[in-house]
Amino acid sequence: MKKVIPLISATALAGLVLTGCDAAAENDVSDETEQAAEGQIFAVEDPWVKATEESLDESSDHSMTSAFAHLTNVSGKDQTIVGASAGMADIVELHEVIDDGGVNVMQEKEGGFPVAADELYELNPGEDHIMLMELTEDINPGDVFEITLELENGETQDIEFTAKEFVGAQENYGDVDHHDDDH
Amino acid sequence: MTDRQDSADKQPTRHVSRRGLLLGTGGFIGGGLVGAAATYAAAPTRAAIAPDAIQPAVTVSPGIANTKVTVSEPYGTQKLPYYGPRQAGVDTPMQAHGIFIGLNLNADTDGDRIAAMMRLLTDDAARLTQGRGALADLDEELAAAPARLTITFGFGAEIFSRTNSALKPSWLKPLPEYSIDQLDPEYTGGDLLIQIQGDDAISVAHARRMLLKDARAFASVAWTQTGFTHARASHPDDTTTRNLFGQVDGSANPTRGSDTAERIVWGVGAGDGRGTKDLRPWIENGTSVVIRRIAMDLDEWDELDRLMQEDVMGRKLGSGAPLTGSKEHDEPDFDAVGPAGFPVISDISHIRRARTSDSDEAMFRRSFNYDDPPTTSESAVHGQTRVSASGLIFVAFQCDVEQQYVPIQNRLAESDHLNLWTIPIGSAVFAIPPGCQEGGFIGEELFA
Ligand code: HEM
Ligand SMILES: [Cu+2]
Repeated sequence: MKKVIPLISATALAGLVLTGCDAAAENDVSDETEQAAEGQIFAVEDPWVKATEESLDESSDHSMTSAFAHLTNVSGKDQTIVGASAGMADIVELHEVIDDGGVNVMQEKEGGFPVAADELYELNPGEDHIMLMELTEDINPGDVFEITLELENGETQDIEFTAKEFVGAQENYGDVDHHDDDH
Repeated sequence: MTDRQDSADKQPTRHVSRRGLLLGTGGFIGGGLVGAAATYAAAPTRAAIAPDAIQPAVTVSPGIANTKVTVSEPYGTQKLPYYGPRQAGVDTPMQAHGIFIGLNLNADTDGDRIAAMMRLLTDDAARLTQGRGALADLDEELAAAPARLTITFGFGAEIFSRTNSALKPSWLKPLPEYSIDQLDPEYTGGDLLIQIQGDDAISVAHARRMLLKDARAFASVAWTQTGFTHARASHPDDTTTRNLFGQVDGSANPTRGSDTAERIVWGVGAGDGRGTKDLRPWIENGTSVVIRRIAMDLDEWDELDRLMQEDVMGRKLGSGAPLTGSKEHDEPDFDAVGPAGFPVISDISHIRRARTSDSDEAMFRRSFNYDDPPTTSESAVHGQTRVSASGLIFVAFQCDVEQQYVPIQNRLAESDHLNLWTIPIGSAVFAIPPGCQEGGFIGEELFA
């Protein structure tokens, strides 16, 4: 469970130099944390959603996809993400990936994504993610989609996700039959 | 830094005098190979310096996986700014490796999709050049040593046709056909240029893969050219590079940032005031590039002795100085005549033919060498032999292809002694759009 790791520093967050490099130290931290505007709950790094118009991925399924980001809780209080909504999907769920006898399967994460104050919560392919099902439009590479995170305390945060072609993130449904029957 | 620069400058002097002593005065050293070794051994003047003392190790974290990678500072860590009014990779310092990729747009890539593609590619370039993995990069460690990585985009006519044909420069079309040309479609044309250059072959290769993965949904690769110059550490920075004929190549280029470069490359200002053209950039901070793949027949070049090779160029092999001078940057004196009354710099030499009296007929050359495998069979293409298949990825930037490049190319195609050993086998012309600011993307002006 390496999902929640303590926030080391602002520089580490931005993925820049950690030690002793003058040339890099002057670098902008801003672009990676730009979605951490005033009053925001999470500073957001690298939000992206897997495009459905894959030119390579034969397994691509136009009816669902997943979204990823690294979220750092900058609200000063513990938070729990309990849901999400998006214009491009009728069903949006918070998923985890578990090892089911050597097979990675995904399922809804009970209780949502808990993010303690000042901590980083990672949504990565093969790990926790936002699941988008019953898509209402194609997710074309380069397009940008807004997804709204819903918190336990009733607050929300809108995040823009860039669609990227990606051949990974091919987790199965926990209930494999459910997936097959659907299509 | 200054220290090392000093010792590097002194080396050639010692080298030459020692060589004169050992070899020039009658050859009391037995074999040439022994002499050469002695010469080189004489050059170092200081105790060996541990590499880590020159390039200290620093630890960087190249992306959101937050792993740590050790990189040398500054040659590994050095970044050229990405965001700015002009794209890097035009008149910024030359790096060791260069990859040029021409892509053709898919039939269904319309204006909106072109914008989406350029947003993705711009984001990739902005991250990778700053030592970060791309978005959704599973191998971000490969980006950890940017080593002056630059990623530059160019547009062919088709991009303008599908977005904003009013902005299409009139010179954006194939060069005229020349009798010297043997153009191969494998290296010719293209709708989009991606130019990737850097001192580290790994970060260059990674950038190529990340960019092409993102371009894949919109366009397909038409051609790829991979080239190189000197390793960064092997000569002092800003040493003019050599091509595979052994020539110092790039000496007469306008100096980066000078009034001349501003006018020749960007169409800004009056330059040296001796130009006659009406130079206007197709867009502010935009320029053009001509990329010609030119095979060089090294085997036949070998048949010339060194003096003859120097006559063909009009410059000396050692220093790169014009035949009428002694230092690389001495101005050639085209009027000087030798004892027999012939011009010292021949009328058909490359540099004589490549210069006209109009100083606007000029370009900024930034060429890379290529060195393909020799043939292993009876069949050989493009000057390929059983020993080598080498040449130049000739790259020239200028404000206006028609007014600046074509007149010179016309003269060279008509007569240039060098043509006997060179064959143009690829040709492409692109408009280079301005740079962009954070939040913007390269080419956004086409959608304004
Ligand atoms: C394999 C092909 C070529 C080789 C090996 C080559 C090599 C050289 C060398 C060694 C120089 C002298 C040093 C310098 O100023 O850089 C030079 C000068 C130059 N070359 Fe080339 N070149 C080639 C093709 C071209 C082409 C295709 C063009 C343009 C149409 C061109 C344009 C020039 C110009 C403008 C100069 C500077 C002349 C001056 O004002 O002194 N070259 N080239
Ligand atoms: Cu899922």
